[in-house]
Amino acid sequence: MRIVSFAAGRLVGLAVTLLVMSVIVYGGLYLAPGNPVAVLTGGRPLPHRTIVAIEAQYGLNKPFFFRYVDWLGKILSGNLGKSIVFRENVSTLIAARAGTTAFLVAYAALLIIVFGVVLGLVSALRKGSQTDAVILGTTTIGIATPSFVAAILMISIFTLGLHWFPAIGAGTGIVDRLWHLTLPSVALAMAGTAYVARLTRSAASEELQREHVDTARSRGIPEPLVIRRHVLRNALIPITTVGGLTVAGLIAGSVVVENAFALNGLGSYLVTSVEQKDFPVVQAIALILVAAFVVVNTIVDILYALVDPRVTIVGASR
Amino acid sequence: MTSLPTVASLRRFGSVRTQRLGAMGKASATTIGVLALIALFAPLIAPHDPNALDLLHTFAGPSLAHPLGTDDTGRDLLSRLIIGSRTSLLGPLLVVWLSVLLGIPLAITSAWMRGPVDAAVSRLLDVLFAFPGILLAILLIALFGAGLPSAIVALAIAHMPYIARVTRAAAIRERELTYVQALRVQGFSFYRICGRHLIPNLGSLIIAQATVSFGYVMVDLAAISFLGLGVQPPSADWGVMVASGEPSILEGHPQQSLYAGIMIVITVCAFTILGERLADPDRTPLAG
Repeated sequence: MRIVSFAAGRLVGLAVTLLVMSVIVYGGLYLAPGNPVAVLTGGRPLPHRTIVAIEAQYGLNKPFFFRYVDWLGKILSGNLGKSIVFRENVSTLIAARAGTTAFLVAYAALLIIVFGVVLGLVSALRKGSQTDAVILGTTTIGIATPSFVAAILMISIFTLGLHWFPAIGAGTGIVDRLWHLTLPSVALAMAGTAYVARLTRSAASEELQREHVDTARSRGIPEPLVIRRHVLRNALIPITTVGGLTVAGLIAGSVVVENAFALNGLGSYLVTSVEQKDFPVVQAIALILVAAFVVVNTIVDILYALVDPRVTIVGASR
Repeated sequence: MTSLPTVASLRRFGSVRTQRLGAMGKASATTIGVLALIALFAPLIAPHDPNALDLLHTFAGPSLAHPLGTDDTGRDLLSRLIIGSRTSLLGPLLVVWLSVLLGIPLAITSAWMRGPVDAAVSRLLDVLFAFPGILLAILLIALFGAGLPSAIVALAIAHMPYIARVTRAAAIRERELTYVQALRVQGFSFYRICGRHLIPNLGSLIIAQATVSFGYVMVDLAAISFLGLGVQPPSADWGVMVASGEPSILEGHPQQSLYAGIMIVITVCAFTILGERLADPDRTPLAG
């Protein structure tokens, strides 16, 4: 039962955070130098009736609070406004690109979880060995490698050197997509994988020294079972939290990787829109990416409570 | 009477830590020192003008005149790397300095007052944690225009919670220690206790966190410049160099992107390793 109230508390927190985020994203419009219409239109000379239409869309003739509530209501009902550059609904423009980003992030998340945990576990089980040293060395460099540096390295090696993967495009169909998005996902996942591997290594090696593992071994429980039930299960507690944060961070990281690989996703569209001063699109994408980030974080929090029931006790007293 | 804790804190803060850096930590500290010197004296060291075009010698290989060769417009790569170290290092330095300046007072006040103030600050930090730094930076750039200043302010706001959270947790522990209690009983003010005793005692922790943050900030800032939203070409900056070298990769000349990328990786490595060693000299796996 405690888990339910914990989850409820988290969901309330999620709603509050999202509300604050939307105020920041919306209010930013009024922080910028110049009047909001100029920011929204990027200072372009526009016919009067377009300006009136924009003023009506954004309710610029009403007080801030009402404008914000109006705007939020429209956003919640799926009306994200119109792009100033393309004169099209932002939601249509975004929907066409969201798939690539979602695929990329999911692919990278999978890579991080699988390779991060496996590498970390191997490293912990062979602590002090050559394998351990190699994993430690690679992960130290991996953590410090920005995704766009990994991207140019992979394009040079796998696309131009070995011709294994295409350099650009997101592909169509599942298999083609997998093939096209492999290099971008690896580039996006690299630092996170290294980080999760390091985390798993320290968490697992700490568990390996605990008495309950010795007890399990002395009772003759087969080693694979000891690792799975006693080492990995307990080590999962820190891995879920930090790993979850890392995976959530991929959503922001996709902006950089999509640009490096010229993928037509939300992130590259965000940067293009900033360059074109297409502010309604910038607002919408920023809001969506932040919302996705916060939602993933909340899911991780709740998962964490499922893995480690003790959390809910602390959570309740907060 | 009051000098006693200060002496104790000085010992904790000083020599003991530097001796326990280990080989990797010392190597990282040396690397950072060398990079700082290069950035400081960049115009004196750089063999060429970083922006001088030489269209007759584009994509030149390594030679005595150009030890790392030239880029697509014949600019000397070594000179551009050396000059580029300035914005590449100064940017993260400003971000970390700003976020320490914002985060420490917030964390200390919150830890000291507890109660509703602390709850409000914790909530604020939670919300800020929920805003990925690079997105905040892009949003600010969309409003105020591309360039380093917007990026620096945005990243400072986004990284402040990391510094504040670590400091707040430590300050809450420190506050309960007897020396702080003793100082309070003697009637010393909040500012004096925190400024003279609490913050100096947390100094090594703050420095460790700031060092780790420096690495992450550098990655974010370079990414923003890579996206074309930070430092603007033709200025030499490592992030910019990775981006402007990208088209040449497809022509078979990855040098510019590669060298700039390597410089970023080396620098970030040095800062994260040093930060980890400073934070926890006993438990870092890469003990030298």
